Amino acid sequence: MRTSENHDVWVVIPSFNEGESLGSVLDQLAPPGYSVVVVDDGSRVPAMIGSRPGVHLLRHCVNLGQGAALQTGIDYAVERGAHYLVTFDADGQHLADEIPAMLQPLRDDRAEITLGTRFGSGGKAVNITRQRKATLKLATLLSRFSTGLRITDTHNGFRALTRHAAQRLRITQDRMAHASQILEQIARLEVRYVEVPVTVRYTAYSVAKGQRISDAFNILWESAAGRIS
Amino acid sequence: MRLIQPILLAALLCLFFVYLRFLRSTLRDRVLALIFFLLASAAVVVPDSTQRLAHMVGVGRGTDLTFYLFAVAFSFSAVLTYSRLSRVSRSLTEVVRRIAILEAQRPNQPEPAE
Repeated sequence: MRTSENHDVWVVIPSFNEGESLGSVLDQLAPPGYSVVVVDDGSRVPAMIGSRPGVHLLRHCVNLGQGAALQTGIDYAVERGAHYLVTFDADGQHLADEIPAMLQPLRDDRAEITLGTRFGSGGKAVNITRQRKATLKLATLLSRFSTGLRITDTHNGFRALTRHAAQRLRITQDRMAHASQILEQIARLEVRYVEVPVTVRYTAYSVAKGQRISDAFNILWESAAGRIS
Repeated sequence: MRLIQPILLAALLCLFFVYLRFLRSTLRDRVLALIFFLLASAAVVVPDSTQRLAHMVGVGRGTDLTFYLFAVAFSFSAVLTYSRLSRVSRSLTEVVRRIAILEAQRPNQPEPAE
């Protein structure tokens, strides 16, 4: 049963080499009736999602990076009339039923962009490793220093934006530096933002996917260099 | 005339022609290339010119001066190359994005048969 009022909410999911987690994420997003655009960023095994109502699939013929995949999905959604956009991870770390809470400040016109936080009050980081937590907290500090924004979770892929905000922001950093770039643009363009506590679930699957030391190093580097795009 | 001089001159001539033939050449680039070629040739041909130049600017040896200038020119060129690469990368992204949107698979469409 799909709610018709959510057709104008577009969930943008960048995807790279995701397996079954993508399918179950799409299952979660189906009942509320959101429009969904999955952007397959040149996965070795192309994402096969079957034919699902409300779900669009785009493919980058070459791997460009998560930032590029997000921007592609955002462009597509805006082109198709999205009123609200939600960026969402493909690996099952985010919870679909927290989307309404992310949209509420936008609907109330308290902000043009909401940023999910797992570290702010009310946020949860389930099964996070100490290394990951330490890296992200340090990245947050560095990002605060370089963008001036008092954000508690700078590398959270769960965000919601109004159509207007989506049209003002432009992600040109194709790879992981896009997270810092988004914050840098929010600061520079003075976009009204609000942080919303969300849950981030670390499963064995998602942990195995992204826990290299090089990740930590790159995240910290890009957070410090926030203003350099 | 030391042996190194015709060798370097020949090398410079080759570089100059390669540059003209294969690399971007706006008017500015051509002028820069010509100036570089002439200066470099002068340094090679006129005996001890680098040595005298070095003394004028307080550097001990001509070789050292050449090295410093080379280091600067190289760094500059590295930065130029990086910015060119970035531009190419951005163009690539735009093309891949355009293709992705054009070939979008809309809902309720069967997967293309492989």
